[in-house]
Amino acid sequence: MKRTLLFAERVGSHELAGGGNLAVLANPHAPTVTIAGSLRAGPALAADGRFSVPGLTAAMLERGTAEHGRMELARELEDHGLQLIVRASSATPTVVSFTAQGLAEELPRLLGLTAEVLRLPTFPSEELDKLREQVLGSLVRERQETHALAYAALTRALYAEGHPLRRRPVEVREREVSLLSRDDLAAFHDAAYHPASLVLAVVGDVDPVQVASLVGEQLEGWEGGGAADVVIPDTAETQPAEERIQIADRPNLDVFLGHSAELLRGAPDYAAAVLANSCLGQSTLTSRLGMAVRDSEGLTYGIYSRFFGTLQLPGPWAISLGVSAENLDRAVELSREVVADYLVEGPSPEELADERAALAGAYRVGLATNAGIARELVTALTAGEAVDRLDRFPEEILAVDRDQVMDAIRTHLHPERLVLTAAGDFDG
Amino acid sequence: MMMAGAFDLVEREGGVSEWRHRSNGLGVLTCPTQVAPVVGFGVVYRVGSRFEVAGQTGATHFLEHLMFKGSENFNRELGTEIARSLHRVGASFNATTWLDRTNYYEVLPVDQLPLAIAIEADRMRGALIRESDLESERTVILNELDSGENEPFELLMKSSFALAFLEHPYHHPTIGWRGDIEHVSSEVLRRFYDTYYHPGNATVIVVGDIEDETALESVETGFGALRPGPDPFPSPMIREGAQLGERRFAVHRAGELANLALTWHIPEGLHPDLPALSVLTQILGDGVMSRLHQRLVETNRCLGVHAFVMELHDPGVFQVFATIAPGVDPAEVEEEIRAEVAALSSAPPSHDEVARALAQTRTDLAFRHESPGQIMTGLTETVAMGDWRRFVRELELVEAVSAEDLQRVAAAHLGDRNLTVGAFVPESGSGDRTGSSA
Repeated sequence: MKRTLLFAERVGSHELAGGGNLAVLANPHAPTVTIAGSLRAGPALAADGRFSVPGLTAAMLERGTAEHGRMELARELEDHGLQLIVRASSATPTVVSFTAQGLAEELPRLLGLTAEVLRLPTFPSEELDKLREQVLGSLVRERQETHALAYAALTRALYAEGHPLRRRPVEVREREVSLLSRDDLAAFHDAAYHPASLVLAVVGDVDPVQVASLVGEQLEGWEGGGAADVVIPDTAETQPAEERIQIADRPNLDVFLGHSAELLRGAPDYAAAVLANSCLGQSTLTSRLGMAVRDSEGLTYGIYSRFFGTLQLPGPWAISLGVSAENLDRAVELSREVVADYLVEGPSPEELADERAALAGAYRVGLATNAGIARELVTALTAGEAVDRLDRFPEEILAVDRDQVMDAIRTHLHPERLVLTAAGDFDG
Repeated sequence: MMMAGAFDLVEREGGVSEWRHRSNGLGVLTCPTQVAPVVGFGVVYRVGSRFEVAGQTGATHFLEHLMFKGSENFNRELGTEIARSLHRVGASFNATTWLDRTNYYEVLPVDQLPLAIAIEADRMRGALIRESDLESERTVILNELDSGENEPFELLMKSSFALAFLEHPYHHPTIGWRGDIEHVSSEVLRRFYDTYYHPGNATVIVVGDIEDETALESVETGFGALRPGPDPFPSPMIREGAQLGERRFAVHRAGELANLALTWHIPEGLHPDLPALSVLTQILGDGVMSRLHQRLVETNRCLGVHAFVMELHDPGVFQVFATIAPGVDPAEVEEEIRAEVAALSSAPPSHDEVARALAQTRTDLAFRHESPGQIMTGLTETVAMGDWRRFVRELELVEAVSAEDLQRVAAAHLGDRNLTVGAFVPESGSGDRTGSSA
């Protein structure tokens, strides 16, 4: 029987001249290509607490370069059926991430445009004015978004002023965005967009030799690196707290019950901690929280728990659920009971066996598309892991024993510190 | 006629084979693709909210929820709950209900295909549908309904369908009206189940690292002994009368941003005009270069504008949805959208616009054929429309669309008398940024 080749055997890894990493996988089963990548230029890199600057910098990259105006760039992409997205996300605050997709035959154009927007943006003032209006409009919308408001309130309870994971109130961000200039963005680009931190994965119906050569050409002459380290203010251990945000006519409350956490990808107990969380709250349909709060008592359509961010900067661990106002107290009380019991009991041998197989299997299923493989390669390399992470992680999950899970529960889950935030219509 | 075990080959096209079980009528679509050691398995029942009558809306969706509560051989008492059995093998699984169909699906490692088949075969005729499960699931569904009502988009969609369709059952939302959800009984759900959940009313889809013969053997093992069910299955035959004039509604709720939804009736999904209508949505709203984006988003009058067609078993809708920027008059945005749509009827789109739409379609379709899960989704929706071949023919149908076709279908279907306009009117927020800032 033919042995399936490991990713470590199939993926070509290259160190780029500017110091970054390139991973290439030829997958001839679909006529597409996905380019995914990251650069250490995310919100956490903002020098002076102006966390909107990196996000707007990333969003401006497609709005004009030294070689193409905004409309020329859009036309070049859309005329060839290509998609290019560069985004800074608060879920992965140290990096900007980008994805470029198209038919495999468009690889040279796609790579060229990707390199162009990363290297040569011009930040035209009139485009910034348009983008600013769009962003301010989105912030108006956010005033009504129960999920975003409840999560922002949670981060404000958990992280001190100046912490990149702390989501500032909408009006603070509105003021900051209103005052930014194109020079602020250009200066951030100069300071943070360097090839030393570039991670690039190209997956699809491609010739790996051609990819390496094209990437070398596109990045030629791009130098520099060593962006400033991320400075994280100390955060005191959180005390239990509660905040309820009234939003009229929103009958479903979005609720978070969480605390700050310390889990990072690549940590020795990462697999055990992920498993510890999974048995409790990975899936509404199968995990303990879902079985108690949805399946038995019918209090919610969806409830889950997870670590919100484990790439380079650890985010909170939280339970998230939707619930009507009349069921809020009972759902929260029941969730707390489930967590308390879980801390004492840990998972049963059956739960643990199921969850190991589920996680390992789901990880493999997630690698069934070019995009899925490309994203995971980029995340692994950004976290400082090797390509063999894609082969190794399912095996690591399967090898975790119950003692390791119990240790992880004690290390990472702290019900005595849970902060409750909820947003929606409490009076409706 | 080619046969494989208990199955006759009906049709083969675009890498997909259609089979029919000789004794119970079960339809099977197989699509071998070696992209990954993964298989997508799904069952599509040709029953959706279109089949519901007044007072029992939401029954199809409620039943779909109860289908996870246990069947004869997969239930909590036996330690073989459906969700847990699938979860433990790493399956990605769920079920969805829509206007014309209900589907249950699993994407899982290929060696676990027999498990997915065993579960779906067991719950096709052996679902427990217990009274004791009804009440807790009722509140789950009411919470699902509340979640939808948090979103202006959902509120506008619900009212758009309710007003555009006065006679046809697309009038009511798939999740059902609140009062019906609150009162539906297990007898109603059981009757629904016994009427529609049979092999003869279902198509099984198997996509992935499989061979036809072995996949069919597994399907036969699971489903072969089931009886076919009623013949024919009851199906509503209601035609919406032609709309004779513009209809308007407004939803007033607390909020900050105004939204608009414009809805036109169009023919059924398999009608030859649909590919051209689909291209029109791209020309109007797909990408920075599209007409509505240029006219409304680039000028900062909207935060977003989207156009889409609902390709359904019965005549569906063409919709434009806009989120209006703070401080902008919705009447001005409506006028602009109507002017752009009217322009489609008065002159054919440019060569560039048609070529761009085709390039985007080529790429979209390549990605929609990339994985077993995506192929299964495409086949599911076209089975619901009435012909799975629509999925594998999509590119050639779009390639055949000319600029003149586009003008013709716009003139035929996107007129003012056929239009329903809905507005989400934010009440407590002024919609004006300066007014709502702290």
